[in-house]
Amino acid sequence: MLKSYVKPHISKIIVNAIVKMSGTVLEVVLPTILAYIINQVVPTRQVNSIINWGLVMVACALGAWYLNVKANRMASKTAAMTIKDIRHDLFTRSLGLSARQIDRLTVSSLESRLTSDTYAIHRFLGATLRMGIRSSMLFLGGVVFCFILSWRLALVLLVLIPPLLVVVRYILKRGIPLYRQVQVRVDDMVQVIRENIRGIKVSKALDTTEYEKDRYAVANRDVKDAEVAAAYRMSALSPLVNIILYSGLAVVLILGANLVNVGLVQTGTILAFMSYFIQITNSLLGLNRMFNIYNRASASASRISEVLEMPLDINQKQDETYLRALPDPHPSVPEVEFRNVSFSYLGKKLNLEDVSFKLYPGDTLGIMGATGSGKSTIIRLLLRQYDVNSGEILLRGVNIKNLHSEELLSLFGSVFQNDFLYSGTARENIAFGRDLTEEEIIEATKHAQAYDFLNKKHGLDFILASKGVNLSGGQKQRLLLSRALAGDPTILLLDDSSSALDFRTEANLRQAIRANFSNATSIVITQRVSSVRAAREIIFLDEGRVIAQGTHEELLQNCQPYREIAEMQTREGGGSLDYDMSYA
Amino acid sequence: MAVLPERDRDKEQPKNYRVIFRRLLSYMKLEKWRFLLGMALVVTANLIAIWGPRFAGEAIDAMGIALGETNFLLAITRSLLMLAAYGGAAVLNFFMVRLVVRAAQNVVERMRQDTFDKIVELPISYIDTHQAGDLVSRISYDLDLVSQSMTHDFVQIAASSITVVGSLIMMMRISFSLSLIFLVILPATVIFTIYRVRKTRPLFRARSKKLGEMNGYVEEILFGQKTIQAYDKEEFFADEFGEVNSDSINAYYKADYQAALNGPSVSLISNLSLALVSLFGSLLFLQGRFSIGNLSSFILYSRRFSGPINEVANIFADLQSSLSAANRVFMLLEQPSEPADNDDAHILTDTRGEVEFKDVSFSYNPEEAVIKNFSFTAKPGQLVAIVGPTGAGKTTIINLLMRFYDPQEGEILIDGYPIRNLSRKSLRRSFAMVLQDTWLFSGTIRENIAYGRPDASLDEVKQAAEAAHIDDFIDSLPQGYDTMLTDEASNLSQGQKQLLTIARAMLLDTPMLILDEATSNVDSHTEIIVQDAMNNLIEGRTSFVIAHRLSTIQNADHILLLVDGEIAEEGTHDELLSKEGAYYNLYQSQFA
Repeated sequence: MLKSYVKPHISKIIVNAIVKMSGTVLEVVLPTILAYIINQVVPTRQVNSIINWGLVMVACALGAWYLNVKANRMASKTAAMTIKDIRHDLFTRSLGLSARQIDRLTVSSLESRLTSDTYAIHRFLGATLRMGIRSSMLFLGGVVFCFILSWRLALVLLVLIPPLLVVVRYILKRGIPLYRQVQVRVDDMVQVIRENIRGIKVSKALDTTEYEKDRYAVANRDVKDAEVAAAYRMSALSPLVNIILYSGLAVVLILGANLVNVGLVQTGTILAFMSYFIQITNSLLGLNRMFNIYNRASASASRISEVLEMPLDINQKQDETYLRALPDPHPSVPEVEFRNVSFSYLGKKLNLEDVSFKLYPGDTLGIMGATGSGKSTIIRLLLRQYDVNSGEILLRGVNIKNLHSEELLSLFGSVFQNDFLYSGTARENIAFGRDLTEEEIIEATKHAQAYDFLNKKHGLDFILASKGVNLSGGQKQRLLLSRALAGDPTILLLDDSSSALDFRTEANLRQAIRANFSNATSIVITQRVSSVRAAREIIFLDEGRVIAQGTHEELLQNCQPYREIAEMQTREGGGSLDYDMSYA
Repeated sequence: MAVLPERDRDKEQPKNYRVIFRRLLSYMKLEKWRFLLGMALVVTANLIAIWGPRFAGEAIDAMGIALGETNFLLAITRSLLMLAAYGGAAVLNFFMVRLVVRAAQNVVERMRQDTFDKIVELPISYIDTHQAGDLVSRISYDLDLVSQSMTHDFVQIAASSITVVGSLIMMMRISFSLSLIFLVILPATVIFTIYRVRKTRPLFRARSKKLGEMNGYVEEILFGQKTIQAYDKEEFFADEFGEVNSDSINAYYKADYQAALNGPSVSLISNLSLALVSLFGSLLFLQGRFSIGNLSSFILYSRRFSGPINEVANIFADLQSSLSAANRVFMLLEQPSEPADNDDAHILTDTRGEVEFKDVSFSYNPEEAVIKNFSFTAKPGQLVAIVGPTGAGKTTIINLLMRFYDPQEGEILIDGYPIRNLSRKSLRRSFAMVLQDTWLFSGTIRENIAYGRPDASLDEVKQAAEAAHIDDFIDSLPQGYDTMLTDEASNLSQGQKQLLTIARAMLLDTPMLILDEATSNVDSHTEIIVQDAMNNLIEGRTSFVIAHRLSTIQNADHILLLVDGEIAEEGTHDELLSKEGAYYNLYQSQFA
């Protein structure tokens, strides 16, 4: 599956394997040398010879050490380099996935593919190159040497290995799901703790502390029971392996006594056998560990390749033959036009139905409607994050499907609902990887009404925490607006981008945009009538359908929900007395 | 909110391992019989197992060297004795593991419960100043380390030391001179192992840290994937990831590079022992001072040597980290709980709902007063709207009313009783509370509504839901009131969550109400419903409302405009407007 990543390293891997094998052979040969000393050299009573052979053993031990360390280090290097490439490509591919693909995979799943799945592969690669080769060599070498030393005694091994394998596999097969169960229980327990910390005021207010303790006790006991069940099931593994192994040894000793007596086997051989037995058992346990690592890794590998091999989504494909250059703006050509656009996220019910509008250069379109009525979808479609099911979206008269995606995207400055801020400086968050001068950034913060509050906090060097949690809602929105305005956008897409601003700041913002971005065409999604009052056209959406379309005055006349909201938000009803930090 | 010094104290507390260990032992005493029996089994098992190589050697000696010398009876009995020694040890170990696992799990269950109980009993100030993740990790991660230590480490230390010391004694009894090899190898191994552990530990810590950073980066950036695409900046972030990725790979490689020595070194010690024993054993054998069986025992003993030493060295490092983990838990357990009520605490009953603040001053930390000289009386049934900019102390008023915090100066009276002398329970139960941060737990909708009154009948729950305008929605769900809310009620919209907490407050039927109006994240239509439900709730109760809605403010019997912890202005809406002061300006900027 991920073979192509291993391929460039294949020569290194072969060298690595040879070094590792040589090192292991040097170890495997030791008991045989011992048998040789005792069986052949000692009877000659030549002290020099014994010393020489002893030194050979020492040399083998040192040689094995040297080669194994060398091989292990090569293995670490190869594994690290391979994973680095895999992870990098995976990350790059993840960023390039279409919105639909991301929706289906989910961000948290992608995240675990990039982290725990790549670790699993890393561990597996390292372990194969180190332990895997070693264990198989120890096993094979042990068996081969046993047969060379005495095929009669070696037959005991053949009887022994199958039950060993069966026992180990059986117990692990039944035990491992229980450990997964433990993890599930722990997650449940943590959930109770989190809920309690978050709701501590409520439980204190309602005096339910004792109730919560009982609730936790249940989750706590479940964890314990799961842990105990898993440990109990595994507890037989090591004793059983030992009993099988030593039963084999006892048979070797008894059988050996017979063979020695009739001269078919020498005593030194029995000694070597005992060493090989222990070695073979250990290698079997090692191979089994490899098998488990492999199981996990192959699941991980397929999850990784699923993403890597995911083809470009339809909305990302560009047919060269139809590709057209973007014409210059013209006052008589709509900058943005939706023609009878319908769209569905899941292919079941329509999330947008027959939406049409024309927006000329410099105009503003306001979009209002309840949560889930399809407001944000309009922007997502315009950015081609999704493709329409029917109808057309035109930019200066060209269907956006026929525009080069870089050219299309370079037109927009956008702020999405609860948009993305990341840990880093305010400068980085505004520049967002674009080549912008310091002046351009500062200028943008001024227009976005972010300059003053930033100045109170180290200016552009202010360091944001992850997701901007060290900023108030209004401050976050103003940073995001700075980002959108900084690139001198031709088209501004603002989705709920000023809901946390107090009215005065929002008025200033509108004023700044009017003054400095008079050529920009804007689409503004909002819950506030004041944000769209001056718009050339307002669309009021309900469950994906346009129920009213027109200017503020027209909508006041013929759209009842709009009128209600407008009334509530102005003089008499129940408008919102929200504040922002800047106001205090 | 203010950061209190507790967090620093946790860190600065000198780590006295002996004290921590003693404290851990006192927990382990709960299961002392299981632990002691387990230890006895470990000791016995290893003492028995030590005889294995000895019997194997004797069996080999019984075979003789020349043809026909074999003593069959001896060879068979010794082989079987060997099997009995190893087999017996295996069986004992089997029971030992079960005993110790059970014991350790029981102890940890208790520690987890104590920790949890402590968390819910802590004063709010502690929770406010500590991260939830930190508290969670003490129960889940730290106590898991402790549990592993209790299960494996103590047992392993006992087993390993018996194996090493026992093997050495057995070898000395067979041949003192040959055991001298091990008197050299043993200390050399110990020193080398300790040196290695010291050298690699920091590298592994660095590796976890770098991996953690990479995880953080991935989580953060992937969250913004659609925005990144909208700005066509995939390449930029992929390049940035390249660095983070390299760092984590390098840290991983560095640790791996050093650790590459560990496995081969353990084998080296084992192989060197084998080589030296073979060499010198053969020489001794040649001189007739050593039988071939002795040589065999020696080899088997030497094979048992290197593993345990390496393990013990690692275990001591593990023990260190699990004692530190235990310490983090103990530090938490030592935090004072919310103080108990006075002995003569009055129990509030038949409350009329008159609330009086008398010269109340309060600060979260000494540098910054949040509430200054606050005095004010609310009559039974009044609606008090608290308005003012963020940070003016609105939420603090609620914290003080509920005695989540106590004021440094002045007092608060309910029906004339100072709340310091009321039982906390009766005080808090006389309030219903709807906070901006809606809190629902994983359980059914019915359980969530009846949270404050678990005895409430289904009819009562339904009435409350109806008054909160959420009954239609609940009825539309396939499981109705038995629908499970999971994962912080992510299956509900913000507005629905809010309505559920209103229903919960409805059911309580308290004389007083605390309400934090939240408007954000709710669309206009839902907002109208929520507002109407809140109006139902306010009726007939002395209500303190952190107000955002104009209608609430206009209907209020009394408005408090808080600025910087002080009452800047108070009165009814019309009175305040006619003053043309701070309130007037605020109103103009927001609504006019």
